[in-house]
Amino acid sequence: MNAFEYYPLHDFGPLMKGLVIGGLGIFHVFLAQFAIGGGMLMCYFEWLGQSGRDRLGVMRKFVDDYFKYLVLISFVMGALTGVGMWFTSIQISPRTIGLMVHEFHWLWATEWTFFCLEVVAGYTFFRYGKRLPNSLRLKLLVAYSIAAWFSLFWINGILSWQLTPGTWTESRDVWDGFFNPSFWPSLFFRTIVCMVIAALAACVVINTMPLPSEVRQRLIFHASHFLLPMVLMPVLGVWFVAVLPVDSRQWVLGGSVAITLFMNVAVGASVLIAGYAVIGLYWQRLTINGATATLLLVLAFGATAGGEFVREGVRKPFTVRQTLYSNSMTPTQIAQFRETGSVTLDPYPLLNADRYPNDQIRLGARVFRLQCSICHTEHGVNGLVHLAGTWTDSQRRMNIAKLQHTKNFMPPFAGPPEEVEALVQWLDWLVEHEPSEWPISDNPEVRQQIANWLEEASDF
Amino acid sequence: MDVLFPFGFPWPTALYLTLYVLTLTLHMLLMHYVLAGSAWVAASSFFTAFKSSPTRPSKIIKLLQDWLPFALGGAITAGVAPLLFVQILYQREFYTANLLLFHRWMSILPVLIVAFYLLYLQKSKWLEQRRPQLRPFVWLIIVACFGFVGYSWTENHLLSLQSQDVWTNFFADREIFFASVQILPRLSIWFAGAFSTLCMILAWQVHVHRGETASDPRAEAAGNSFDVRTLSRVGMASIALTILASGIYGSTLKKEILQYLFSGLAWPYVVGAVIGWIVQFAVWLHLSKVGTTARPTLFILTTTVVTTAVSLNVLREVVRLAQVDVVALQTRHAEAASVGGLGVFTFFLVLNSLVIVWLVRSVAKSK
Repeated sequence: MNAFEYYPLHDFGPLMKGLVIGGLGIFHVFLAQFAIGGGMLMCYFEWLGQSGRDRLGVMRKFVDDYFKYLVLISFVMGALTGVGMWFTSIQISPRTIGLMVHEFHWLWATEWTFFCLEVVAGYTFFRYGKRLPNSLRLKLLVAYSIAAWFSLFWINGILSWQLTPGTWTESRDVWDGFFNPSFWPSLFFRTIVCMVIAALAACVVINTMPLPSEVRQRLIFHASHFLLPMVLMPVLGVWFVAVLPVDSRQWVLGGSVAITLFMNVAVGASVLIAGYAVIGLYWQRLTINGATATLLLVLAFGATAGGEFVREGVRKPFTVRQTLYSNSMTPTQIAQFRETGSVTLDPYPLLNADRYPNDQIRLGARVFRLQCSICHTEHGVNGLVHLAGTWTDSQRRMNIAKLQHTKNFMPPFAGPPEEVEALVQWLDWLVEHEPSEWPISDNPEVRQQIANWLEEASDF
Repeated sequence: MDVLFPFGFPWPTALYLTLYVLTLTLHMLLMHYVLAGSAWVAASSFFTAFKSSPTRPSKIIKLLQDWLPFALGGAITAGVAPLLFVQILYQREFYTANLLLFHRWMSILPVLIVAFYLLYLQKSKWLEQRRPQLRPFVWLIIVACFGFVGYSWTENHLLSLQSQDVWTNFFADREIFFASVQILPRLSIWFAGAFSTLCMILAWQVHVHRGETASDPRAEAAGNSFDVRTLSRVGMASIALTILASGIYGSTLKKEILQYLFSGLAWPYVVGAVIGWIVQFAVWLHLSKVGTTARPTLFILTTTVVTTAVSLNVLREVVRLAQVDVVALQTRHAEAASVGGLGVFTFFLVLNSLVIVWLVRSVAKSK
């Protein structure tokens, strides 16, 4: 997998590519976790109904009604956003998803067998559940829940591998990668999140049903049982942070303001939900109206978004730790590009080549497209003009040449001095509002200085 | 080129090709049901909605309206596996075509979401209570959505088979549509062929659900006979049109590709497809005369539909293999096959298949 594949890369304008996949990812994760927790919750309610604990005789009807929401939301949006994640990953970072598919395709294929079971069990229950005997209803729900949870099991191993590949980096054994250091805390944590989302969604659904207040209160009380495992979240969170690599842990603990803030958003939202659930719903047996339930569900979405942002953020500067940098280059490829140039063999031309005043600026634009555009824009989100516009040329040269030392969540620069200088000139030209004339910078002393800086930053 | 597909390839390539073809066939059968089924209901709804006297939908239409959402869910789920294996088999080609088509390609996702929800909408009481003239337009949107998705896949597939020069020019010219003389014939094969698969599945559904709603057994039998004869006619027309579309498509292929199709690599599959069509046609002809279904006949029909589908998918793959650098791909496939997990996949494939069969049988028995 060492040959570098060039793909046609598109400009997303002011929108950062990482945000596109992040936005869809958060939405998909939320729906998928709803589907998983929903199955578990339906099993619990069905069991309550069948084991004589349903004094009011409403569980069966509630299960049937809730399942409709599960099918309409999760089976449609969940399934299609799942496929959408694959297509979006290809659009954003084809080499990263390519490596993931290469390494884990059998486990993804295994996950697919569980999808099939999930869909068959779910739809069978949806279509025939009302007419089936109790034992078969429960069997279908259990099969659905197990299948849904196993889809989490498999994808959790692949996603956590990206962050903490563990001994896989040496052994290249798929199981070393799958059962990596953050696998278990992540799996347990996500399982609780699934239960929480399902319970809060249930509270919303219960409030949409025309039920007597006693019945509503009873159902909400039972749903609140699925919120209680939230008390374990701090322990699992600490476990997760403890197994992170030291540099990643630093981002969470204040090293990166953005990541720390998002972490606090996730923690804060979770604390609010847990407090309301444990003290209000379970301990004091309060009821909850539709508006409050919806608000708590939105808070859960916020917590999910914060958590996923942190998970993605702490991986930097890698998409697969110690293997693939965030611009989808391996350390070996970076070393090669330092010799040969990163865009020399790129067969795809600039789409707006006439916009640039000379070949050096065009080279800089191509280097930006290949190496930087995954996380940066020109003037938009995380725009380079905002980030490096006030630097002097000399500062830019050194900071780019020694990129991984400038900021340790940046990958090393992957190119010879000519490409560093081209990028510097391109950035300067942007800062100066894109004049139609621009001199070519070809001072040998400058090039030698850049070469020295690159040499000093050849640790990757 | 002289050894039968996939046996002439190294085992990793052969394994991935086999898995791709088989899972694609599973996806295709369900997708055929969705594509042809929605087109059938759309056409029917236009005929009935504007009649002066209200017409009750036929059993076939009711079955389709009822089962299409599940079939679409099944088709999407079944489609995940071939989507995975195509990334192992032809990663660079597939990814490049995806990227070149950019937002045009990505738009299949919202389009599918719209179609999915409209399939549920057409089952809803809300739409039932609206003017009947509204229904055909809902179906028209559904068919347009599926047509767009089918067109996009065909376009993506054909673009993935082009050379680096074509890709570079496509990108430089900021194209978002790939024009090819092969798009229409390929789409026609898919669309026409979809109806014979649909008719086979519908024949099973009519057979299984016979007598369920009968207050008058004679009227029910007459209705069933009418349905079977309708399916037979559509099935035969579908086969004839598929053969015609295949002939037209074949005429657009280069001589070297045709040589591949009639080489030892693929000719048994050409024969398989032709025999499949002949037997299907004969079975439909028989059913149109007797007007009633029996399990052995339906089993023969199913076997031949699946045989034809697998054969056509192999031929589709052979056309692709004739246009890509197979030797370069084999090295990648060998690298991919060295990664662990095949045993786990095989174990859960068998286990989950058994659980699915057990659940379906349990539900069928208890109904």
